[in-house]
Amino acid sequence: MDLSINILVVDDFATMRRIMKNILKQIGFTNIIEADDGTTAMSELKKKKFDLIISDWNMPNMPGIELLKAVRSNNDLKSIPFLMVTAEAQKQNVIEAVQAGVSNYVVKPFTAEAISEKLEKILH
Amino acid sequence: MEQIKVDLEKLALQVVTLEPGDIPAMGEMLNAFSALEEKAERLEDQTFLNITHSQKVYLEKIILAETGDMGPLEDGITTLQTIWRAINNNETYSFDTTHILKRLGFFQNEEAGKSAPNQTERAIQQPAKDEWTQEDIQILKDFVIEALENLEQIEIHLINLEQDPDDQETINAIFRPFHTIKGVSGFLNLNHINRLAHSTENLLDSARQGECRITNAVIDIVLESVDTLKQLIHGVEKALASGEKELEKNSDIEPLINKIEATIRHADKAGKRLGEILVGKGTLKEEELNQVLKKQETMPDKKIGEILIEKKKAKPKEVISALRDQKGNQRLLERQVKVDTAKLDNLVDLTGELVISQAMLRQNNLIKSLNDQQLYQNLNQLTQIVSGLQKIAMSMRMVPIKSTFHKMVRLVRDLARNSGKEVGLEMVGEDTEIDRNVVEELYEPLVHMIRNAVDHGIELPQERLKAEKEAKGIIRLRAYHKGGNIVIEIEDDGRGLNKERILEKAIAIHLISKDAKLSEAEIYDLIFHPGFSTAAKITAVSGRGVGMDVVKKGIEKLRGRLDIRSAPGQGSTVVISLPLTLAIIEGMIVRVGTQRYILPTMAILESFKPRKHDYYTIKGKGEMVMVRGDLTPLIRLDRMFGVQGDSKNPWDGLVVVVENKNEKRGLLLDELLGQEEVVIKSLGEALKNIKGMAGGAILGDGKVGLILDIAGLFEILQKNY
Repeated sequence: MDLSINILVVDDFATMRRIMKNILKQIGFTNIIEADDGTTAMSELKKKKFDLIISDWNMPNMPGIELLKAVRSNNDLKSIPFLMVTAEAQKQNVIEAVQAGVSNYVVKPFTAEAISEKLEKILH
Repeated sequence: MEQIKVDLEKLALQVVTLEPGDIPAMGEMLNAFSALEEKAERLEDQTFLNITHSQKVYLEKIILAETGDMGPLEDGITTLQTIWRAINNNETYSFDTTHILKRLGFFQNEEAGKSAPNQTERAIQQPAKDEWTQEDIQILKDFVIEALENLEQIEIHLINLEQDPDDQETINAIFRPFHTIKGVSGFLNLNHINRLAHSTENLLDSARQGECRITNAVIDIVLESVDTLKQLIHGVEKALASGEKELEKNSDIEPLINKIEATIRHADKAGKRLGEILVGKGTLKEEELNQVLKKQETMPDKKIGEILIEKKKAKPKEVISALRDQKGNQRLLERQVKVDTAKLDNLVDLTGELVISQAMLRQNNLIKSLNDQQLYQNLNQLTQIVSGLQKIAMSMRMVPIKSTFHKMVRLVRDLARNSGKEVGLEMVGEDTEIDRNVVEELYEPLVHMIRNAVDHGIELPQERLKAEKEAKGIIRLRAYHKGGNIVIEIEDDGRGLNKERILEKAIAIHLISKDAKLSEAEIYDLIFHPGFSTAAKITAVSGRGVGMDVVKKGIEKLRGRLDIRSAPGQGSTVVISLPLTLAIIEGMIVRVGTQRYILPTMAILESFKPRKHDYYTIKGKGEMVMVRGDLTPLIRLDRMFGVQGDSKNPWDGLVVVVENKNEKRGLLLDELLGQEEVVIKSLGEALKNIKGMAGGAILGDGKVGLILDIAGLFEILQKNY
C-alpha cells in the first residue's frame, strides 16, 4: 500500500473523524483531510486530488450515499476508491451502497485491523 | 428475450470470475440481477422469477458476509440458463428446482430482507481497556463535549417535534446525534451510553419509518433518555477529571431501556401513512396499498416499506424518497472553528493594550512636535487599523443569545407540565449578540425568572378562561440592543404582580413600615429582597423565597439593571439591561488632587457645584449635601483614599451624585476630566479584596487610573458611621 496517498475522511461528528484519523495514522497514512458532510467533501474533492474517500453514511445536508452517487457520476472523481462506514443493523444501507458502486464498506464499531484489511482490498 | 440470454451469459462469467470480497464486482452483479429481474417479469415464469430474486437476496448475503459459499450462485445461473432455453424453445420443463431454491434460501425469504437481529444481545467486541493512553483520554474529552452539544440540540428539536410530529427532517435531526453517540461510545467502550443511545435510536428509527407515532409519551421518553445520557456523560467527564479508570459508574439504565423497548413494541401502527404518501405520488394504487396493508397484518414485524419493496410495488428509492419527502429547507451551517476562550480573552486584552500604546504614541510630545505630513498619515492609518482590530476582537467574544434562550424552551415545557398549566414560549431577537462571559452568567437569573413567570405569573387554564384569556399562557423572551446595552425582556401574560400582597408581606417581615409611601416601581422592587416570596404554596420550582434576590445579585454583578413593569390581570415584564461586554466600560474620568479615578458612567445621576448653604453636618450621620431637596450623604473621595484634594470645603469642589440599589450618595471631587471607554484590567490576585475599587485601566496618556466600585464605596461609608 502506498502510504503517502491523499485520504478524505467524511463524518459530521468530530470525535468520529478523530478516531478514524488515529487508525489511519496507526496504519501509517500521513495525508488525511477531513470534511464534515457530503457537501464539504465535494468542495474538497474539487480542490485537490484524492486517492481514497472514507465516508460515514449518516450525515446532515448530504448523507454518505448521496456523496457516493455524486462521486460515481462525476467523470473526474468516479474512479476514486470509496469506503463507506455504516452502523450495524443497517443492512439495507450496505446493499444500497454496493449497488451505487462503493468499493467496500465497514461496520461500526470497527477495529484498526478491520480498516487495514479493507484498505488492503481496495487499494491493492 | 434475446437480452435475457446476454444478461445470463454475462452473469455466468461474472460469477465464475468473482473473488470473495470484491465488493465493486458484487455491486455490478447485484445491479445485473435487478435488471434481469425486471426483464424476467415479461417471461411470466414464476420459477424463473423466484430463482432470480433468490439469487439477488443470496448475493446480498454474500456482500454482508453472512455466507461465503458461492456455489449456489453458480448453480442458480446454470439453472436459469436451462429454464431460459426451455422457454425460448417453447418447451415445457419439468425438473425440480426446489433444491436450488432451498440452497439459495428462498424458503426463508421472509427473513431475508429483515434488518439484523436484536442488537442488545450482541456484546461489544473490543476488550475492556485497563490503561487509557493520552490519546484515548483526549478523544474521550472531545467526545464528552461534542456529545453534550449534540444532546442539547436534540432537546430543541424535540420541542419542535412536539408541535409538528410529522416533520421528517426534525425526526432525522434527533435521530442523527443518538446514532453518532451510539457509534462513538461503542469505540470508547462506554457500554451504558452505547446501549441507551442504541435503544433510543431504535425507537426513533421506528418513528422515522412511520411505524411509531410521535406522541407526547414518546417525546417524554426521549427526553428522559437525553437526561440520563447527559448524566452518564457527565459521569465520564468527572471520572476523567479525577483520573479514574472506571469511566462509567454502575448506574441502572435497565428500567429506562425496558421502557423504551416497551414503547417500540406498543407503538401505534402508522404504516398507513407511508403508503398514503406513495399513493399520493402515484407510485402506488389504492388497491395495491390495501393489499399490502392486509398482508402486513399477517406479518406484524414487517415494515410497510419493506413489504412494498419485496412485492415490487415500489422501489427502495421511491420508499426512501417518500420518507424524505417532507424534508423542509435544509439548515444553514455556519462555518466555525473552535478556539480556546483563554486565547480569545488574551486577544481582547492585547488589543486593548494596542489601543493604548497607539494613543500613547500619538500623545508623545516629541512626535507631536514633528511636523511631518507622512508621519501623521501613517499614524492615522494605524489608528484606523487598530480600532478595526479592536472591533473584531470584541465581536469574537460575542455569541448570539440563541443558545441560552433555547435552553429555556425545555424549562418552560417541563415547568408547565408539572404545574398543570399551558404555557407557550415565544422568542424574539435570538440572534442578538452578547459577550459570551455575560451569556454564562445570565443563564441562572433567566431560569429563576422563567420559573417565577410560570409559577406565579401564568394562571391555571380554567382561571385564564374565566378571565377571558386564552387557556394557553404566553411567555415572551425578547433581546435587543439599545444604546451600548443589551436589553432582555421576560414578559408573561399572566395575572400580574399583586401590589397589596407584596406590601402586606413586606410589612409582615418588617421590610417596610406600615405607613411607608412607596411608588409602584419601589413596591415591585421589594420582591428582590432576600427571603421574599408571596407564593401561597411552596412548589418544587419556586416559592421558597430564594430566587429573585439571587437574580438581582446576578444581574448587578454584570453591572446590569433590573426593572419590573406589571399590570394586574395582564401580566408582568421584567426588563434586564446589561452592558454589551464586561471588558469595556464607559467611564467618567475624575480628578481628586493629583490622582485620577474612573467612575462608571452608568452609576452617575448628575453632578453640580454645591453652594455653601447646601452643605449640612448631621449628628450621627455625618456630612450631607442637599440634592434637589433631598439630604444625601457626602463621601469625600480624598479622605477615603488618603490623597490630598484641592478642595477643603465642599463648595470649592464638585459633587457627583451616584446611585446604587436605589440609594444615592454625593461624591466630593475636584474636577471632571472627560468621558472615555476604558478596558477593565483586574488588579491582580493580591489586591482583589480591596473594597471600593473595581479594577484599573490604562488611560490615554499611558498612566493607570483606578475604576471605582460604587457599591463598595457605599459599604465603606456604612461601616464608618
